[in-house]
Amino acid sequence: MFSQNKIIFFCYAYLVGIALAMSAPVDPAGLPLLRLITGVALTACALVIAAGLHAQRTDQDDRAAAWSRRAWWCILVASLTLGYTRYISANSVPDTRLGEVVLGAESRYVPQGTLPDTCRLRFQKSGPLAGDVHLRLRGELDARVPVRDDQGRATVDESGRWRFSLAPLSITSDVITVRAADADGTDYVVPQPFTRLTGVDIVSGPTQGVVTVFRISNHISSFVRPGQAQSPVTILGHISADPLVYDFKTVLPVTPEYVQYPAGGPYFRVEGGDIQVTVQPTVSNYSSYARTEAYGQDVEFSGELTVARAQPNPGGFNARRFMQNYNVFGLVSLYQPRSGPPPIQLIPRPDGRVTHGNRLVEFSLALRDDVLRVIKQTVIFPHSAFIGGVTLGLRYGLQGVECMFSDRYRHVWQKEGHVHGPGCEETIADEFKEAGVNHVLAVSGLHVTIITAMLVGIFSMMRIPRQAYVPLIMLALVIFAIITGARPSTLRAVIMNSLFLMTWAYMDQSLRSSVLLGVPVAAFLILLHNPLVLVDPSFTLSFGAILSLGLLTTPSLDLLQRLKGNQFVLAVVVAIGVTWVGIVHWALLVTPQFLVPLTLLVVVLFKLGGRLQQQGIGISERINYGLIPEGMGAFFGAQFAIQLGMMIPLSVFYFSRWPFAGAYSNLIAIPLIGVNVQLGAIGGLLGLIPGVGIYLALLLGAANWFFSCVFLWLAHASSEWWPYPFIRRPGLLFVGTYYILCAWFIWRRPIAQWLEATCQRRLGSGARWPRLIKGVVLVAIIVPLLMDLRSEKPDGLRLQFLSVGYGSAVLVESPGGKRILVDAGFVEHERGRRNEAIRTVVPYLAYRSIRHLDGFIVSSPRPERAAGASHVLEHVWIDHVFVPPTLAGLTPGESFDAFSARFTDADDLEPSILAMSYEELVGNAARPRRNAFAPMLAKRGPTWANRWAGWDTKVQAVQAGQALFEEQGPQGRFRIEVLNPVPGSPGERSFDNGSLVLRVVYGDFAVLLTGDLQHDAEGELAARYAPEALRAQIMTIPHRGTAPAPWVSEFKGPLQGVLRQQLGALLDKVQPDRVIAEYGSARPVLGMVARTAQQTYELSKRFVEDRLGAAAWLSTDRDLAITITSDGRTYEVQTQAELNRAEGGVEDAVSDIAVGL
Amino acid sequence: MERGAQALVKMMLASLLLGLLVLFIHPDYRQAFAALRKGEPEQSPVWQTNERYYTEITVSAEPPAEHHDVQPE
Repeated sequence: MFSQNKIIFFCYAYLVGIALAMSAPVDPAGLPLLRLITGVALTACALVIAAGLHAQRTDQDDRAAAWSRRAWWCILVASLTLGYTRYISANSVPDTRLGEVVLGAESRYVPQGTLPDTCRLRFQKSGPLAGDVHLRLRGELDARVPVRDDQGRATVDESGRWRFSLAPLSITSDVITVRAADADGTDYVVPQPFTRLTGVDIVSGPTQGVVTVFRISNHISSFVRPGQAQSPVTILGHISADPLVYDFKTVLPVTPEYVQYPAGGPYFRVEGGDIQVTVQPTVSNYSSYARTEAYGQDVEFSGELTVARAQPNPGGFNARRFMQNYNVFGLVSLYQPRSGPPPIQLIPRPDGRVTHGNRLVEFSLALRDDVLRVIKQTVIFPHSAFIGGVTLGLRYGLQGVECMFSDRYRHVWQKEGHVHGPGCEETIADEFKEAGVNHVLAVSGLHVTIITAMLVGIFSMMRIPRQAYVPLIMLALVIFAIITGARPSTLRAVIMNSLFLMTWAYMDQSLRSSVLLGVPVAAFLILLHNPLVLVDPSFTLSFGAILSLGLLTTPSLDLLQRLKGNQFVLAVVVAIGVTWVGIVHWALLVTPQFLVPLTLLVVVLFKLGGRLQQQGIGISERINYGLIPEGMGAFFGAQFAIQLGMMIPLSVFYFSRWPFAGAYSNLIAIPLIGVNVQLGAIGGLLGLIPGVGIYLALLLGAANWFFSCVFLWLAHASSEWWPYPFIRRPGLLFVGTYYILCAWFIWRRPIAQWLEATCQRRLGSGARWPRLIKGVVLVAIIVPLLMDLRSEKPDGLRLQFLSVGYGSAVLVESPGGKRILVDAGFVEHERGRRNEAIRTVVPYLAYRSIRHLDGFIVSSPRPERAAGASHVLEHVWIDHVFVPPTLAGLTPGESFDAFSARFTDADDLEPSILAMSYEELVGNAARPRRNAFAPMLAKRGPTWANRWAGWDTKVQAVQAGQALFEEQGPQGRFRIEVLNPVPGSPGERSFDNGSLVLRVVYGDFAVLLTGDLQHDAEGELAARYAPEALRAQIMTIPHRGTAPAPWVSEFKGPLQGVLRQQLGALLDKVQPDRVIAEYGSARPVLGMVARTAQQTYELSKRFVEDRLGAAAWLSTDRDLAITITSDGRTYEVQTQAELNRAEGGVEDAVSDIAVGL
Repeated sequence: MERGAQALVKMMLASLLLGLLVLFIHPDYRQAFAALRKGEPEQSPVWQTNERYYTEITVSAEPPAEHHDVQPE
């Protein structure tokens, strides 16, 4: 009755309930009803199971069987409703209805609830009104004022509760006008907060209608206000998790308890939600926060409470949603002010002691610090950072750490010599991603299983019975989970390993049976606590891996073991050949013109090989997969299963990239990481023993250093040899269909048997019916799979301005389906190492399923346009590249002097800009591994392999008078006109004034992309062309509005005159409706000149807004990605910021007052 | 699972031997051993390579002196 299968079913149905809630959420106002339904369903389920158990015990088998059947249905309903309700309640904290103002002959307020604490209120227009209603609230406010000590800090009592003095005040709100003309559902926030509501005055209003009074939730998200220069809030709370200490900041996870909002206003008790507080090292007493001991302490701080940015580009990473999934709803950044108290203070107890958090957590974190101390003494850096990452989950310590072949450690390598050349500046983390071994840094099942096996081994050596040591190991695993951050992947593994240990120790069960139960139970427990992580990569990749191992290993081994003789040798040859092609020319490997003939050839050779084998011709059947030692063979089978079930579909779905190297490097990495983790853990613990312990730890650390060298070399070599291409990101249809195919692969025999039996029974004997049905089903599965990979093409013209910070990247899609990318953003090599091409541009193309461009235009040599070009060339099929005349004939190895000579005004440029352009376009001899435009272009020449793969690219310099990609569309002609530079003009060979000015035209609509023209060239452009040749509804502001004007900080007047004369003339000719600035933080690009550029930008913006109106200005830093579509007559502009705001609906907002961008 | 105890023992013994070899060959490890023997772990070259790695973890388990190792934004 109460069987393992029912438990498994309940857990999986709970997941389905969550998925239903994600795809079809209801209004959070329905939560009380949902909770009631869930309660009833769970109660009914319990009663049915109890009745069945009773029938079983009293030997009423028939009745027990009947109850069992009913139990399945009850379990289904109960688990679905539980999952659905849990997700809705976790994803929203609805405002509470307090009452209604009923307008009539005797208008009255009908209360329906009371206020539990001080809060804000709002009116909502609930239906049509005959006229405007003027309302006022009456009540009381218990104004909370923190009791402060002589240092001005808020105080807590002995039990850690914040101390307040309360001053009751009578409050009457402002008169709120609910307008009849407003839409139903419009909200009107009452400025004054209340603790008790005594009445609602209807100052004036019609005699019909209803206005509802709501209490705004005190969830922390309702106090967040986006944007800059807001009023600061003061928060009283405690540090609720381990501080994240970087070398340039510390991030404190804080649970707020009270918030003063607005500044000088009342204190509200917070009803949920955490925040992240970033503390800069300049803050007084910084070291008090930048340490583990800060965990659990009470804090008071003041700052602007803002929210993480939602996705800046379509398909981009939604940082806000990611944080909300982990209950983080606000961000505060704290800096030390020039004068005044520090922005954050630790609050001690009255007796001077510090507040403690959970004791087990404190112990775990202290143990982690002690082990890290031992690692730092016994393993050389950067290997210690690697060991810290894989043993203790310290991923943040690996940020920015370069691989061991970096010049930073060169003094070591000069002594011993090395085979790799200088200049390797990849970080360890990036090399791990490219090598497909990044998973070792995410503490998960592999690490937990290693720790479990190690501890079982140690206890076994001590001859302790398993029933005694299993609870100790479970406690150790809990401590390990706390130390490593308790991510879903770790929790999954700890729960499953604990279940396995218990069933193994106390019920003598095998591993397989515990896995079948452990996976769904672990998933259920994790999602019961936090249902929002269902689609988090940490959750799905971890469960995907374990399910792949559990379900796909056996059929994969079965397939591999059937390879014998000719077919086995053929499989090995094909694997080696495909690997070689992937290394030498990955683009060839993934094109249909190579893959299709290869697949046909392999199928034919396999069939032929099999026939010859049957005739005894060829290689003996003794040569087969079984020759591989059993353990190794099983390991290969498991790796094959993981690639099939997890790496291929999910890696591509989440990251749009697939590491070729992963299938190979993991064959060594996985056994090796077991050694690294065990030596790291045992050495770290041994080092805590006084006396001899540290010496033993030193020996183990030295050995671990050696094994780390092997691991880091493996990742470095794999990242060098194998490609890491972008793959078109599949949609859910593809992923779902793919897993249906996997399910068929797993259960193909039972499915085939059932099919044959069914066809025999219903359609008569004969093998053709099952084969026919299989064929039809296969086609029905594969067709949607392929359809999901097709990219959506817009109707008409579309321009997508991507938000790439201070830089440009625009995708133009013509009515005929041509795709042209204009510029590729900036690449930052130091500090943040932000590569906009890899981070934004190419992933956007992958998201749109675009892997081929008809054209790529590099409009200017400026690094904020051209730096990303080499990375686009590395990953995307491109037919034509267009450059300005200044970049014509660019060759790899061109000297800096020759490059400078291309520009007539090279001497007037900022030396850093010219140097950056040279490095990105030609290369850097000191950094031979860095991508550069010219060498990458040289690799795209017309070789036979490039031609076969469609990978060859033609380069052409263009100038004014040329038209690119001309075609006839439904509503007129489409073309890209080149308006600058003019051949023979003085500006033709200028760095900025020689940049390409492009006019994208479709029918009556045009967009002018003005490149990097400086002020004088703006006027010249206006003077050169007739109005109809320049007219455009939308234009970009030349040079991002930051054309050099170094004197602007002192002399604003002259710049305003220049703007009037030059930009004004251009605006008069172009007559745009909207002006776009592709803008962001200029510091990475312009360095010290960034401040001047910002001032110039502000003046340019104000000039344009004064001319055309504030609504005319669009910028990619404020409005994020900007999409322009046109049918050739009219046009539409949509910004990502608008989309993010619009998405703050039922499924995204926490409070009914939508917050954030 | 319990058969893994033997594998663990072998791995530990082999690692200790390997560690001894590295200690003899690698100058930084030799000096680290000497520094530990002298009771001056902060003089160890191994520790010094890790100075900027989690700076709040000091060799003596005392909180570090206040420092402002600030990199400009």
